[in-house]
Amino acid sequence: MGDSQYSFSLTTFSPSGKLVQIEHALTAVGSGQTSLGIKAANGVVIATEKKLPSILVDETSVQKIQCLTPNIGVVYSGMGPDFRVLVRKSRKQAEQYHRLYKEPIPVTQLVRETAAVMQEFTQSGGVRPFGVSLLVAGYDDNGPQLYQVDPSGSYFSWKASAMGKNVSNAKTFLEKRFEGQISGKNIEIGIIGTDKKFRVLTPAEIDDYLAEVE
Amino acid sequence: MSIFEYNGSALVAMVGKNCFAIASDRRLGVQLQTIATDFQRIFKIHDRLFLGLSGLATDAQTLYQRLVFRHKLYQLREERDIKPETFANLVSALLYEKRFGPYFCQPVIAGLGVEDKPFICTMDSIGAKELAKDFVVAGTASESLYGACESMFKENMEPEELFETVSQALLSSVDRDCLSGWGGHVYVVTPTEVKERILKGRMD
Repeated sequence: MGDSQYSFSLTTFSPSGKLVQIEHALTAVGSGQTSLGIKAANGVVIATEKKLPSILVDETSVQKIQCLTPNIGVVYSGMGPDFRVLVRKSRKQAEQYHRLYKEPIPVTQLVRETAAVMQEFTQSGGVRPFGVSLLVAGYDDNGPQLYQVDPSGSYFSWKASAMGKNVSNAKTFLEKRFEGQISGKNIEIGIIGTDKKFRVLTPAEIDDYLAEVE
Repeated sequence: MSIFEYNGSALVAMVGKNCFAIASDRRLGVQLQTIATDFQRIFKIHDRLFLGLSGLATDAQTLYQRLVFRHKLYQLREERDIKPETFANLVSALLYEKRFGPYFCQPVIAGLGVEDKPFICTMDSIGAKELAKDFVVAGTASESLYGACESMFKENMEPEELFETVSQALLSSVDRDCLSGWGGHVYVVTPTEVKERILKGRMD
């Protein structure tokens, strides 16, 4: 397959339209220790397996779940050292926001900026993508939020999610037991008319149009 | 003559009951010569946040453009309007960035915050914030304005009474300052509406 010939360079697309290095990074994540998060009506919980290579390791020195701000925490699956670098960068970004606005950074903004850092490392020379996926849990003015950020820099908001080893089993379990409604529109519609104002239709409006079509 | 007195200006903001008023004079001068009598010193950032800029007119205009730029990006990114206290911090940070080559402006910020609580503040040209519960003033007529506001201000004024008070304070103060005047521009902002009024005072 032509793909393997393009797996050496991060910044080259393969003929099938993939960046193979990012696929490999996701594989590194997939073989990391399991971590998961669940969003409730009044909070978020994140957890991870803490399996140490030997019983002689001082487990108090290992901290896999870290605080980014007083109201935002993060857990990972994948390479620990990469995670430490991201935590450091994210904390700095959160503090810079606070210095400018004297307001705690909203969860979405911090996730967006962390994802932007991860994306930078997929489009620069001489670097490799981060070998971690993050689960960011936070509570701000918009309520409890849970985000997953991938090595490619894409991020998703989840009601419940799992990463790392055995992720398919974990997700099946969450889907079955989770009490929320997992339904959603899988289409997005934006519209611009003679008023020259671009706007995105709300799910309710999309539902109305779909009902008409039927 | 100081650079802050080159164009001449008068600005005042006052807190009322669930409302605020922000007012300015309308003169634009080049030292002793009057160039314009309809110069705008108060700008709307969003429906519940107004910014007045006194001092050098060119810096006031540029600073306003930069702040509107920042706010538009903020609105797009955060999908909400900026709070007045947050905006004040942003202005302060922006001004201090130019600590050793500052904007020759003194901003006055007035807005309705959470639960429609009025917020006013002013700062010097390098971003030292001054919060107040009653009124803030800026410009070449500031000394007269301090006196007028101090004596005319009452707590919890309704919008109509607040308008009268602010107008009287402004007009009487600019009459004592040769570099500001030629009428007044008053905005009275409540949670439901913004009333903009032009005052006719001594046209000199």
